[in-house]
Amino acid sequence: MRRAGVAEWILSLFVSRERASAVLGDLVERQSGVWLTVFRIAVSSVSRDLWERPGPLILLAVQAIVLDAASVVLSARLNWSMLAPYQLVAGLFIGLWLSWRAPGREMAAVTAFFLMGWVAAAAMYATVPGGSVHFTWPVQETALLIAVMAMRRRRLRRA
Amino acid sequence: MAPQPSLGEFEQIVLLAILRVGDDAYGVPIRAEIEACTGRDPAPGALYTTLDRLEDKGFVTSRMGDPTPQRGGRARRYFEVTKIGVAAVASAQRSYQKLLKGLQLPGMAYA
Repeated sequence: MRRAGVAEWILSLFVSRERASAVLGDLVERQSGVWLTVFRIAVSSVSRDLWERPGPLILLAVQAIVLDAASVVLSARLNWSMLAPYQLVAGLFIGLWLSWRAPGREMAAVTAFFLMGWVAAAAMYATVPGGSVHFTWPVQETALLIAVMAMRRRRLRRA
Repeated sequence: MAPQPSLGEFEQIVLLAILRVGDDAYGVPIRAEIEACTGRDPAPGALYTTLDRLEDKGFVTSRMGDPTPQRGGRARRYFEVTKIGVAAVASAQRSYQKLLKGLQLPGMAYA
């Protein structure tokens, strides 16, 4: 039952609270697998949002990347680039901004941002000679995701 | 007049299952009806995303029922096929019938 509650919570990030509750109720009643269903509905919901009106989401993702780049430049100027608190605050700020600009489509907006960010990073590494990839704990991305999820939950509570 | 959105094969199956189940059409009996009639158990993820898509297209409407204890206090979401949903599935089936007309398929005869 606890597992169903967690799954319902995750699903409600992607679809309305009523839909999430009804789906989980059906799965509990029929004792069907939960996680694959949640994953499939989440992917379907995000891809539908992205395909139906891609223009505004791509524009939003590009704007968020510009914000992100500005925060990187600022942190480099202040010699704060490796400070986790700075990345945390920057991530939270960009996450809140994305959520504010894409009400109801928060997860699609954050997905568009990550996809565009990866494309931009890949293009940069491919074009900059001697570029390399450093794998570190993604503090900023984690903070961004937390901010988006928190905003989504807040909206659902108010709805 | 705007062109009517088209129906995929699984969308037709789901619409027909809702019509067959009638007033009690929520996720569990819809899935059971599809399994009983087609012999294949649809993945729940596929079923729910199809139901949402059909609702977005205006082919079905949904309403929430009352919460029940055997569902952990969660309500059922009942589906009903709209008039344009009925028209769309009928139109799709007429197309199938036209295509089948005159064909001799194994175990089936179409006039």
